[in-house]
Amino acid sequence: MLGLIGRRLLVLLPLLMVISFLVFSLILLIPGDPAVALAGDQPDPKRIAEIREMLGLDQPFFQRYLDWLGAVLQGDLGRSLFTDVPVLESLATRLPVTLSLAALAVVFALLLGFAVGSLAALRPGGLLDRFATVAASAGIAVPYFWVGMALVSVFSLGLTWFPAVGYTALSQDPVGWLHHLAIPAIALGLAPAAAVARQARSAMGTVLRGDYIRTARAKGLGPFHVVVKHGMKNAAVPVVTVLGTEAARLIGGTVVMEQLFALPGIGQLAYQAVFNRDFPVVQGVVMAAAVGVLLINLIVDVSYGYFNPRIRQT
Amino acid sequence: MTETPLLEVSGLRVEFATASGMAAAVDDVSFSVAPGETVGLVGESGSGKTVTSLSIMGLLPREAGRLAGGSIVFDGTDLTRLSERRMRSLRGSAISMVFQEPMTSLNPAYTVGDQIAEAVRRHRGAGRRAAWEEAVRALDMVGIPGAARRARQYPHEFSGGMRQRVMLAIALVCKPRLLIADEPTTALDVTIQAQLLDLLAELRRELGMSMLFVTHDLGVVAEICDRVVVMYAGQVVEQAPARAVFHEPAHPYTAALLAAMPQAETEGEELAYIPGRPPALGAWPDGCRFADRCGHVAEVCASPVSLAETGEGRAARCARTSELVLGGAR
Amino acid sequence: MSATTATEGGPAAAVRPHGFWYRYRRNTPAVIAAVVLTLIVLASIFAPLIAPHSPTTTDVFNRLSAPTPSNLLGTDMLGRDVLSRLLYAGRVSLFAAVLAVGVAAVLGVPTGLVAGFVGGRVDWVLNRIADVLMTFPTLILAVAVIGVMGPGLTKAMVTLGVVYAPRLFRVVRGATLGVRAETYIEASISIGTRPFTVLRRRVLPNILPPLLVQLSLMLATALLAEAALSLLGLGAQPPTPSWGVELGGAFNQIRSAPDLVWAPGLAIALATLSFNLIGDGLRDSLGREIHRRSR
Repeated sequence: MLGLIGRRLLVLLPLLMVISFLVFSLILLIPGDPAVALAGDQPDPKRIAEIREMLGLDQPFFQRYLDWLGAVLQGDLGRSLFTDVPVLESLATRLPVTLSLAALAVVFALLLGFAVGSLAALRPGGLLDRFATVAASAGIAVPYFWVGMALVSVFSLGLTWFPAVGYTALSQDPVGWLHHLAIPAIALGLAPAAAVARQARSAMGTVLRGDYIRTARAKGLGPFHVVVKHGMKNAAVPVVTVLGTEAARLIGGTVVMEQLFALPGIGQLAYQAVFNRDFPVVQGVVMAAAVGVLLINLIVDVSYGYFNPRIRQT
Repeated sequence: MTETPLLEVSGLRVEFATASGMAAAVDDVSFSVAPGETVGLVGESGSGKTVTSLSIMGLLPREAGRLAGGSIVFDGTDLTRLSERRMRSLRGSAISMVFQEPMTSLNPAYTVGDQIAEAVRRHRGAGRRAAWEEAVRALDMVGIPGAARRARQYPHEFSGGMRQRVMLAIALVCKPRLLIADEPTTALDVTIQAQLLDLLAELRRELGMSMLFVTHDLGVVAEICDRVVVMYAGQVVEQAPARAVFHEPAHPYTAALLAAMPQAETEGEELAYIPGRPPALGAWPDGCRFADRCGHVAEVCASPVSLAETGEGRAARCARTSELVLGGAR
Repeated sequence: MSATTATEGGPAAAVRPHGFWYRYRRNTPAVIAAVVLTLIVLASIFAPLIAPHSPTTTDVFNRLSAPTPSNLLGTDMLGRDVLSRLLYAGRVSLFAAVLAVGVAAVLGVPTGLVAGFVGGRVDWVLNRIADVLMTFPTLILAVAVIGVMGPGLTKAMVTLGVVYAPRLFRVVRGATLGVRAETYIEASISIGTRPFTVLRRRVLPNILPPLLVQLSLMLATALLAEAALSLLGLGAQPPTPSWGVELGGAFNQIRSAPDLVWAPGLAIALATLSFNLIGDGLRDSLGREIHRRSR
């Protein structure tokens, strides 16, 4: 198992190199002199010189990249042009928020998607199956941010069951944490839930017809136990695969949701950085997002080994 | 048979949905299994033998099959009237079943030990550790060497014969009183088949249980069964002690099956086979269902026949059985 | 499946009794989606003719009004007619989606053809580039590019197009590989047909079905991305109406006028749902076409 993880990580290294190069190259997209462009609306020469110095703009591009890469490998992603806070530090303080939101959305997607998909698979062509098929099509298409707004409109402003904005740390107040994140997480998790439901429906349909399901029933196990224990683990591989793809998209969605719900996460950091043209922060966020996606893919890969023991040995 | 039977199936009728409405896949099937007895349920595929055994287990595929009549009395209780909940507590503890496909009947995602222990925990309420020990003991009982180590392995690490032993361990770990074995050896090599049959016979004796052995292979029946129930096109066509069936079958279908049995000694000789195919589900004639393929067919065969006693503990569903002299096993 | 012999693809399929249109018409959701989408597109194109008001005329005395006969969907925070703005917004949003998908097609289709057709080292390199591009969450990369270049709908959509391109690349490459294995391609080449002609006349008709499906699904994704970016103020810039801008504006007023978020959201949802259902419908009804033609 550890060998598997190690090998995957090794494969990721060259990919990370290329990604880092692309992220660094973003600066080439800045029209004109980057130092002038980044110095704000009324650039004063002193500030321009400062930025030039900070980004090392007087050196050749490749030299700058290598310097930057060396620093990144030592955990130095530079400092914000705006607040002078180290980028890594900003990322670290905001990571728990984004992670909370994303993790809750994924959990919601898995629970809802697997439940609906499995129930639909139990009676193919039944009322629930047909309803779930339509709901899944709609769920994938409906804009998550709009769902968030609609939920806020109804549950926060109308019924006042949930706070409309803000965040409480999990370590401070677990109930408040869930309370604040419930609506954005549900909104963000809806499309992945629909994708999971579709996949679970088809995977479960196959699995539940399997001979080992009959064996499980012949042991005297009840339907819940049969579906949850003997069905899910076998249907999990395609479901986790689709969840992996959705999770990458979900990371993008956190930017919008954090903005709408005033959650102080990485997405919000990105948003502010964009408006302040805070280049090092933008760079850091993109890098972090790419690494996040790679990590998700890694987790998905490794989970295959857990769900399917045959993969573990090869 | 003076004892009260452990299992008594009477007038069983199971209907399946076909393109042209409901059709009876199993029609008026009656037989019994005494305590400690091994009964062979014999027939070609589609004869209704698997449907019968699944009915006893209460595992008929819900969307396709329906129990339409008759009773299945097990140890004094009619299983057809039992709630699903009560039925579940019998399944895997009092009545167990082994299936035909050893390669696919085990869950690939869990260790075999876990899959055996699961039954113990379900029926005995045993704790994790106790159930695991029980599972290892069961693996040992079915003759898997190094049971403690093998219990931690996954199904794909076992050969077909070994997997069928694992299936047997699952079925027997709660010491059932009745084991239904549905073609348990069909998918296996001949040598493995023989080993498994020996094991089955031995375990049946050891545990003192009854067994319903479902097969299409009369040779296997000869080795292991006390009594035989022959099914054809959803009906019982003959019932008799195993020995009697082999020497003097009372139904032309049984005789044809015996003639079609491949035998080591007659190698090279052309194999007899039964010409034609059994009628399709839902297209069953009113008269004798075997008439189309029977070499002894006469006018009388066009009218319905019932299962009639032909001797001590014997019955056959053939209008001409008293006139015919049928050949036994060669 | 009809027994007619395979001919040069195209419109001939439509007249066959069991051709594409026959199968598509039997997919009710896909048909409804096509109708809805056509209505949305027509309404957007003819917005200047059917919009009851100018989308940019403000009326400070009539802000956030409820629906009235004059303002069927009410007015926004600046007193502009919501319905008129939605109609005009459709033009911007739909065009933005088409732009992003167009860029993706221009980049992804030719490269996919080349990779699938030429194979070897070229294929390997193009694939690795696709790998890398697919590692970036689309929206974050778009946000970053805007952060570097400054806000603007065109920039945002071109960026999205670049990030979407690998997906089309993969589809086209896969289909091309499949076609290339067919013997008639080799036959064409061996009788001296120019490679470009082979591509256009033999390969393109075969990769079109999966490509169309992907394009349709991608339009839905692009529409969502436009809305998300404009909503954040990174895409279309007010006062230009776009569905995302409308939704963002409405959300800012959600405490005083909670109902304003419904209409623009519904417009986006209907359009994306239509694109998705059409894509599903295409997949189901074009699927067998591929088999028949490549026989």
